[in-house]
Amino acid sequence: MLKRIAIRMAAIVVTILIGLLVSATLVRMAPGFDSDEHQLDSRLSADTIAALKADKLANRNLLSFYATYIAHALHGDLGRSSALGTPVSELIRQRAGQTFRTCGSGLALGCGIGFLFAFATGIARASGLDLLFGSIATLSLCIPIAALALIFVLLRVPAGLAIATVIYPVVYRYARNILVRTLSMPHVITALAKGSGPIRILICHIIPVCAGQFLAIAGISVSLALSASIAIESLCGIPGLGQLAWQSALARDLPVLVTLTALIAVVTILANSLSDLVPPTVRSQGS
Amino acid sequence: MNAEHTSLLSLRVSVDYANQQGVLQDVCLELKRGEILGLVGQSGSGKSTIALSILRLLHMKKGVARGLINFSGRNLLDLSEREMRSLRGKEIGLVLQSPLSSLNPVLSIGKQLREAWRIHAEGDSKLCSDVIAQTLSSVALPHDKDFLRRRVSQISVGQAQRVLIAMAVLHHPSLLIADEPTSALDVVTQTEILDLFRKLNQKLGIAILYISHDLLSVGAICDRIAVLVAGKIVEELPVTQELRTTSCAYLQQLSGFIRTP
Amino acid sequence: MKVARAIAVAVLLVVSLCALFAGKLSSPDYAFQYREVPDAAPSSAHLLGTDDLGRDRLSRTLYGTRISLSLAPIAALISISLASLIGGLAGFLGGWPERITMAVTDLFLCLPWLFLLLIARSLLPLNAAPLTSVLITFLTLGLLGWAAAARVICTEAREFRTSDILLQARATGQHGWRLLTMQFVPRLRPVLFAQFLISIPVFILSEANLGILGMGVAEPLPSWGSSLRELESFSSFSGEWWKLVPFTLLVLVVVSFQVLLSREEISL
Repeated sequence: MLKRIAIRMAAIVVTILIGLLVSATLVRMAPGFDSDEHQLDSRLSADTIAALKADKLANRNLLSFYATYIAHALHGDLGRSSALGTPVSELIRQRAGQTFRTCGSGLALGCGIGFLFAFATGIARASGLDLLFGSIATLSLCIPIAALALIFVLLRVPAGLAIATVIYPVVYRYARNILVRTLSMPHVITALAKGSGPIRILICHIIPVCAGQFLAIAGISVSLALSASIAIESLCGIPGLGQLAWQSALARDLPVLVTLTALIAVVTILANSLSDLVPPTVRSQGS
Repeated sequence: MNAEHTSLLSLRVSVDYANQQGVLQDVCLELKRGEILGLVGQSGSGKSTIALSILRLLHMKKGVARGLINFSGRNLLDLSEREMRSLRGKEIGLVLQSPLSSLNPVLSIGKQLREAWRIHAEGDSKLCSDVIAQTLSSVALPHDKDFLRRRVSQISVGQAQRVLIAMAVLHHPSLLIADEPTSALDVVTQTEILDLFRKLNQKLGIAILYISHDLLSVGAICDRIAVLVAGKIVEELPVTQELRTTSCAYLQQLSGFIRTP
Repeated sequence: MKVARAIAVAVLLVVSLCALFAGKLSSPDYAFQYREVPDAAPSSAHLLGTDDLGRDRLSRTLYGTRISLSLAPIAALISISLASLIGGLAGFLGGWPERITMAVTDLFLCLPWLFLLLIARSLLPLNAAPLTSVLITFLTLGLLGWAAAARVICTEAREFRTSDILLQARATGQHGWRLLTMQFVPRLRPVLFAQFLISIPVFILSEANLGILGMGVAEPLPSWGSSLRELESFSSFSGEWWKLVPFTLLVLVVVSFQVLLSREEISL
């Protein structure tokens, strides 16, 4: 168990380092990186411009940029935003709480509704209910997140609810398919033939068997929530990390983008590794 | 009244699935107490459907049964789900064909056996462990703590099948439905399991509905045979000693029945 | 279910025909600004009214449909080719190439899709010429959208590599290139087609998202994404139904694709 977690952790660290290298390379190689709009920006003081220039000079060589970036990051210094002139770590610290709150409430609500609907249709086996929830989920999946965000701005719906709307159809669909598949597995029939009631079937014979898959769904919904938060925060004017990502993408703010990539990679990879914590069950060999 | 000759189960059912009509068409079966009835037929002829409809679990496969299933004087199709639940596992046991996937992969064997006991029985854990130990030894399995702590992935197919059988006969049901119980096993284990069924039948007086497509094993343990073709019973005949000894001719006769529609 | 599929096909056909004959159905000049009637309600001259710059909304919607509906399949084609190259090769080779490819694919699938798009799009010029911006947008989609399909194709290729069919074919003396074209490609075709169909609505939605966030197709070229930006200024749901037409059209098309795909979805 410990060994597996250790291996997983090592894999995560390696992946993040590689991801950082790739994103730094891409951002550095992007056309137009060398062009300098900041010198014309009258809002920035002379000192800032000088600092930015020095940064840029240091960034010229990719490998040395990468090495200095990692070295600085280890000391807690993530560099300075090239568009805003503030330290990146401060920007992230200011905005992380907001995103954490909206994404967290959205995730809890979305997963809750999704699983609830899935259990309702799976246990009740009512095809009418299935059709109703399925259609609602399909329809929600067919609306672009950003359009949904605009509509929610109009309706003045809280951001958490908007994120939940994006998450629950996906959770519902996956969870329902897993449930339906598990319900027809022989061990459930055996348990029913023993005389178990529906609640016991759910708690003893379905949830433990599907726990890994359910956690995997939760992992997927974390990256979904982050995706949604970009659109929703940008369009609703909520000062969170999603808005920061959008603004720095528009301004091509290299230090912010690289750090955000690393941060989001860590969060999503950790979330997606959740399901590895559950010991893998041996798949049924029989047909 | 002589219990040997009273009817335990008599059914007359038709079954439709959501995507397939007429899976069973007016199938009549009669099973006496303590009898072993073999139900043979090709795959897809509706054998397993009969097993599920007796236990009223057909809704799991989106099927609907109509007709009459008379089990010790009661029509099972009229019972409430609650009454049915108290019957499943207590009066009627079920053994499925793929032993490894028929046991819960994340719970230990001991836990699953205890669950099967607790559903229908009150009493302290001492009694529970005693019954489990007794049943396990009657199906020739060890009943030490180490074995009970194992999961399905840590035992062999034959052992898993024995655990399933033990679980099904824990409450000494009057009917055991075995749905192709030997098809996933190798030849040696098959014979052992067949012996076990015969022993359970003789010792505990459990009637067995033995569903299979393997004529040899059916001929070996059954008292009577019913042949199911495309949702209809086309032949019912007793297995006589004569038939058993001239098994070749017997097999030819039976496969003749199966082929003719 | 059959009826639903027929309706979906009909909707897609009608919408694509409308897009194809956009010039016949509306004024061919989607960028012309009727300065005297900006933000107008529907009239006989402008069936869906005009936008805030006075451009004919019907014409913009139809030309936008043409761009989105023709380029999404092209992007899907690019991503499927990429996916079959990466996934097929990995699945065929097995061993460490497969493991590394799958690890990269998993990483790709872990990351939030919109974030990935945003980063990739921000690396490319944002203030490019309109036509270039169209190409850049859909090329980004095509080049980034391969991961999910590559995974499916890799699994399929691995199964083929270890299957009895391959053994059988080898036993009858087939080998190399012939094996690939006679056995593998026909077997993979339905999978590829399904993945292609799945990608199209995903790309249509992604383009719309990018468009609304201002990182998609540049003005004055219309696309569904840029048409949807209008929702921002849309203040009430009561009167101005014509502003919702592009949105409805997009949802209708994506729903149609989903209905077509529903059979594959269930077997998932």
